[in-house]
Amino acid sequence: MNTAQPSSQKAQAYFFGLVVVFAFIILALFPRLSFPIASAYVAALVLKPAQDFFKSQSRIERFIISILMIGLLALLIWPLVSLTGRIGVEVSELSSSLPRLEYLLRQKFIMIRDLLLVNFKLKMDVDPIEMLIKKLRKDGGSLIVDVPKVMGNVIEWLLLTPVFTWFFLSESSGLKKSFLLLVPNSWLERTYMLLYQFNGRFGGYIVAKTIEATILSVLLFVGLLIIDFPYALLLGIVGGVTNIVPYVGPILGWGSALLVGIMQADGSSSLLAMTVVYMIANFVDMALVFPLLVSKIVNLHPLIVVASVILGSEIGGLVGMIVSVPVATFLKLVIQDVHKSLYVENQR
Amino acid sequence: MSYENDVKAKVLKNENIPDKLDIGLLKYLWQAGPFNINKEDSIPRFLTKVSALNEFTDNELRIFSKFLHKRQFSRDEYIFKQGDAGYGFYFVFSGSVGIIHLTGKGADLKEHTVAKLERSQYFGEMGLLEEYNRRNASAICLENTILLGLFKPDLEALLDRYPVVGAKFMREISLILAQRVGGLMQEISTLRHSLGENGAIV
Repeated sequence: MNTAQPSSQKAQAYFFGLVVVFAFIILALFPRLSFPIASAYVAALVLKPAQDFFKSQSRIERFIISILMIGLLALLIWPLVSLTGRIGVEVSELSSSLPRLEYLLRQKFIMIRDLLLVNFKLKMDVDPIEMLIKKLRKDGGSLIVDVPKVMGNVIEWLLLTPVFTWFFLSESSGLKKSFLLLVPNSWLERTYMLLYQFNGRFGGYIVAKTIEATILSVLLFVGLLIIDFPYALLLGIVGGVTNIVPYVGPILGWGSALLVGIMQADGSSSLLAMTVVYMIANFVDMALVFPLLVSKIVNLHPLIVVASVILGSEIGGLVGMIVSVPVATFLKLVIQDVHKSLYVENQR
Repeated sequence: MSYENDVKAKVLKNENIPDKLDIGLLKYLWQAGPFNINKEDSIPRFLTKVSALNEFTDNELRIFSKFLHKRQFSRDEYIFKQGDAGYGFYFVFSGSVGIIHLTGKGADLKEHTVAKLERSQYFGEMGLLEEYNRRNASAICLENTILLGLFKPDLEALLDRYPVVGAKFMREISLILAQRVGGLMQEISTLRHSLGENGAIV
């Protein structure tokens, strides 16, 4: 029997590799295209379970997808319309308080600097507060100049994402088959299985994290409202969003509330009550929400999660921290598959 | 009279108009119908000839065919090799496939052709069932071949979206496996009877 690899198989592999590399280059070069595609992919993963549920009940697929899309848009637009006013007021109030924060931070720094000089004879030549403020002013200034461009991109992104989401949901079967046709025969089974497992875990992770962030936002908002802490809604949303980042997220959320508390200078009791609210919300998250929703889906060792978050922040900042866990999950699947093929198969 | 005019006339007369046309179903009926000339390339028609799917109705075969992947292989191309991770089940749509079992190592490596499969036959069912399946034999194309593959993710989707069709397919797979186990048991018992006390063939 001839066991040599036919040249057509090599051609298939080269062609597939070229298509994948070309697609990645295009996506990397044109973020205006890759951002809506990525967000539409995430939105499609969130809507997929609902689509599957309704599909098994009915055969009118496009109608079901239309209903789901309208539902998603309503869910996005309703809070934006109803809460934009309040968030806008809170943001503008917060902005007007920033000079006060700058003054307070400067005072604290001078106090610490003098303390070090008198007690330990240590002289601080670098002024980190000044550096931070300069950087913020520079970035803030460039942001104002870029506002029209940024707004244009955001509007384009908001318009394109639902279109791509519709496409992903209604054409998912055809898209999948078209992609698999490109995969060389010898790689087909493994590639298909790997993508299926990743889609399942990533989709589950996104849905679970969305629910977790919503629950935490509501808990923080209600808690902060009860203790009459300022900017409760804004801080609740920030707390929910930053919570997506494992381990570091809760500290980021609490830190932003701490800064707001310092600006208000209402006294330590308010800060203490705020800290208790954050502790209760995070306790509920850690004790109930995370074990029930997220842990089984992610299934990564805590050390791996911490390492991936650190690497993610090094490579891509806040976005890198958010996507670090799904990327680590994908790498784990690949490593597990290679490990099984190298060791488990030989042991059997 | 055209279809549109016919519908318009019925609406004007307040008569009931026909239900929405199910293009997929019509396409299947056309492809499976006796007057279709292009019979060789029709997947649903091909599936009616697969013995493992005898219990399926025409509509169930139409649904099942949507989950299959048509793959082209050239002569001497491996579909999978012994020891590979397996996640797929294949029907031979055209051409032929050889199932080869390898024994020994290095210079003592020997190939044993276990079976030759032709149109309408199938192989690889264990890949759908085991969590991590290792192929027990290699499958190689003996000529240019077209296969219809069903993979684990497709089976999951079939069970989720069409549980009746999925369950029916699982029952057929169980029957195939039961037949194979029965055959193996018979072979073992024949071998036992043929062996002496010291393991020599008598």
